[in-house]
Amino acid sequence: MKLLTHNMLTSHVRGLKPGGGFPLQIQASEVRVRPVPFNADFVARLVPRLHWAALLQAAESLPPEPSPGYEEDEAFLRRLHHLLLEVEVLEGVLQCPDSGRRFPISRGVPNMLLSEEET
Amino acid sequence: MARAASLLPRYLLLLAQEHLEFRLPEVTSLLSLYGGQFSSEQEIRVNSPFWILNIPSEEMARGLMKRTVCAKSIFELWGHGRSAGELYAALKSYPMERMLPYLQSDSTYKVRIHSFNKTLTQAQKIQKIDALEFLPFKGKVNLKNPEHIFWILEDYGMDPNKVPEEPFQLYFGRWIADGQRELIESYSVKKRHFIGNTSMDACLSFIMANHGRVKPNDVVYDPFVGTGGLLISSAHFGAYVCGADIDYNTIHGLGKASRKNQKWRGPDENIRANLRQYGLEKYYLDALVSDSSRPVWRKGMLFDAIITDPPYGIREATRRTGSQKEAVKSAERRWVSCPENHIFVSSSYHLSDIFFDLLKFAAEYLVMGGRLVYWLPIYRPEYTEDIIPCHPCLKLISNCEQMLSSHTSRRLITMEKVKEFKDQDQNSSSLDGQYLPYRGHNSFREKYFSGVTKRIAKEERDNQK
Repeated sequence: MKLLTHNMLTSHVRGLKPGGGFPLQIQASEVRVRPVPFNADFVARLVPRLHWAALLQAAESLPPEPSPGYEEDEAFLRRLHHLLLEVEVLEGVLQCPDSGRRFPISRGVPNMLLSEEET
Repeated sequence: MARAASLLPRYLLLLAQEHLEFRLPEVTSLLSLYGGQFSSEQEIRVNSPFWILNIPSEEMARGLMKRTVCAKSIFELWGHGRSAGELYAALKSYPMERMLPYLQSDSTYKVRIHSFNKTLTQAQKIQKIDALEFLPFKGKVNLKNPEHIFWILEDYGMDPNKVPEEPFQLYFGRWIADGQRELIESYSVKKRHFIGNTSMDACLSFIMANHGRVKPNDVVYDPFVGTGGLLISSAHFGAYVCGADIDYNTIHGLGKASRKNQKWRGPDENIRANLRQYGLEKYYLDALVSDSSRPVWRKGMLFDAIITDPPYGIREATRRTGSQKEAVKSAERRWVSCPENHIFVSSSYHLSDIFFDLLKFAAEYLVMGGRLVYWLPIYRPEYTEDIIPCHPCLKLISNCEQMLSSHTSRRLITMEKVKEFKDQDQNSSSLDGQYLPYRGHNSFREKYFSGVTKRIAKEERDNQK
């Protein structure tokens, strides 16, 4: 699971307070860094869709928010690229901040299935 | 100010004679990707392999051909007519200044001829090409590697049993570019490492990406991703792709293989491996195990396109997570076997709900102008246009039928998001009825098999006599 995906996933357990399911807390037991060819245009397109605060929680090397003109700031885009696309959680757990429900990640794939009672 | 159609240069599009209904939406979508629109001086004959289009620039024509799998080639049209005489007259009145750049004495060229619905002898071909000697060709003929290739195209109609002596239409033009039909072979499912029971054939999956106006750097999502076949075509066109499926085994590449003579899926059989097979691994974002009726995405416009083939309930069960009680009652049950998470999955996900949920998902998570492309199974005796699911945020772009049997087909539906999604009470039944008045989808499985069931019942009756 890449951090880009983590930035967009939410818990959907029944009875959560509004927005209570996001962001999921990552507890990783195995992480891999896998190079992906850098594509500045793609990373720049992602910026408006990201939830920056959630990304900051997952990473330390970023500024408090994207500065104007980020589309041309290659150093920034490369750091963002690395974080969003090259870091993969292979094994671990995503924990719902509100309910505590744990969603497992195995072989890089998060399992988001809930039972009927939970939804 | 847009130029009138008749002032735009004319191009002849030569199309492949398959997936006839799918061609016009594909070409229209692709022209709009390059800033153009579908424009033709006269009515085009939708089933004919020859379309005359008005396209503002050669660059746009080339752009179209870099994406289309429905069209074989495109030519700059210099003349056409209903007889050889008319064609030659048209060529004589084609502006000289438009011809001359390609007829220069220091250039090389060749002339070829293509006849649709008739085979010409070599002698006939040569005779027809020689008849064009009146054109001011100044360059040298080079049959191996010419700079410019000119074509005579002859249309002998659509009836292989009634081939006329003379063609109905003749065209002459300068070849510009070929389409992408070779992708059909190179991405063939036959050669793919990882397939499922319902993997989409390569040509249709490229058509879907084209109907979806997928562009480089898009994020494309498939909520019923299976083995990821539909993602491959989007990745080929430069989009970054992700998908979800309720089936743990399929996402992880575990369990029995769908390929005959193969015992189990190898360790590297999954969506990522499929993309790697074609050198497209860099476009892989992620795959999730998830129930698409219960979205796991935070609110926002996340995806540029949603391209999917939802389960019809015939070869793959329609499923969603259900309670223990429901599961005991329902006739079909499937354990999802994964060590850490035995989620009981029932088969009671009605087809109507799949489409309702899918359209709602698309309305919420697509960017403005983004497209949803999906297959809708149809029981033909009951089909009318009204049964196509609708949603106030989505506009219907196209609806193309592919026959499956005499009484069933599926339709490729393309919709575009035109209105912002407002989070009202989307689950109210009144809304439900408004957007999905037709509930017949639910019994698609019974209807699909109805012919079979009746025949079996009759055979049993006959055997008892």
